[in-house]
Amino acid sequence: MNIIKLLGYIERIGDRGISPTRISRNTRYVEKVINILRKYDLIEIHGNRYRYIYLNERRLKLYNLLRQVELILSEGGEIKLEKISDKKFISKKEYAPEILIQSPSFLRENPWLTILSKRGRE
Amino acid sequence: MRLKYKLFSKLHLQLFYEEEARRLGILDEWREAKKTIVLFKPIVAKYVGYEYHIPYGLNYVNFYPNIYPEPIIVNDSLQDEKFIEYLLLEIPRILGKQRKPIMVDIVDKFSKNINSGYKYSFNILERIGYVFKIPVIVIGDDNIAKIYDKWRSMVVKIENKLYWVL
Repeated sequence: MNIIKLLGYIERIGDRGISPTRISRNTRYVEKVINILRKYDLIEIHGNRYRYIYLNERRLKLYNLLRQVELILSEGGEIKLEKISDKKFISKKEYAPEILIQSPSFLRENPWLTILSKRGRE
Repeated sequence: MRLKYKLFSKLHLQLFYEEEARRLGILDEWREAKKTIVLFKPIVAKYVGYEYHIPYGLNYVNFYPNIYPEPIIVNDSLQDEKFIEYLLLEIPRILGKQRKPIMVDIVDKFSKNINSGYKYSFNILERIGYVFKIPVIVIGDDNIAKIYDKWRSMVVKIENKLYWVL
C-alpha cells in the first residue's frame, strides 16, 4: 500500500478511534486496510459485531508526527523540535493497573502522609 | 474525635491507597469501595486553536494554555499541606459533581520536603486522571518536567510557537 494512503488512514482514525465504516462502506476494502494497519502494528480493534478501530501508542507517535508536519506546512517555515525528554509514551495497558493497586515505595516514608492523619480527624 | 470529612463517594474512596485510608480513618469504607470498579468514558480535551488532543492522565506544558472544555484551575495560592489536601480531598469532590479537565500550575508549591511533595502531588494527580478519566494539565518549568517520567503528552511553547515533544 502506498505510504501516503497509509498515513491518510492514520490521520482519519485520529487519536480517538473510528468505526470501520468510516474508512469505507466497502467491507472487503476495509478488511484489506485493517490487515495492513495490523501488519505494521498500528491499531487495536475492540468489539466483535460492532468493531471499533483504536490507536495504539506506536500509531499515536506517527499521528503526532503528522500533526507536526501539518504545523510546518501551515507556518511555511523551518521548525526545530526541542527535545526536553527522552521518555517514551507509555501504553494505556502499562499506565492503568499499577497506579491504583500498589502504593509507590516513595510513599512509605513520605512526610506529607502525616497531614492526612491530622486532616482526617478534628 | 469525629471525621472532618464524614462522607466519601465510592469513586473518591477508590483514589486512596490503603495507607491513606488508614490515616483518614476510613479503612472499612475503603475496603468496601475497592470491590467496585467504576469505568468512565475518557474526556478528551484540546488546546484551543490547535488540533491536538489531550488524553486523560498527566500532561505537561510550560505555558498557560487555553483548554477546551474549560478546566478546573487549581487555586494558585495553595501551598504545602493545603495544596496536598486540596488535591486529595477537594478535587475528587468537585469532579464527583462534574468531570472536567484539571489545570494546575505546579511551580513553587512546596516550601519544605520539596521533592517528596512533588512526587506525592504527581502521584495523586495521576490517580485522579485515571479514576475520573480526565486530562490533567500540569504547568511547570523544565525542572518540573524532569521530576515525573510518565507524561501522557508534553507540549512546550518556545518563542510563541508550540512544539509537541515526543
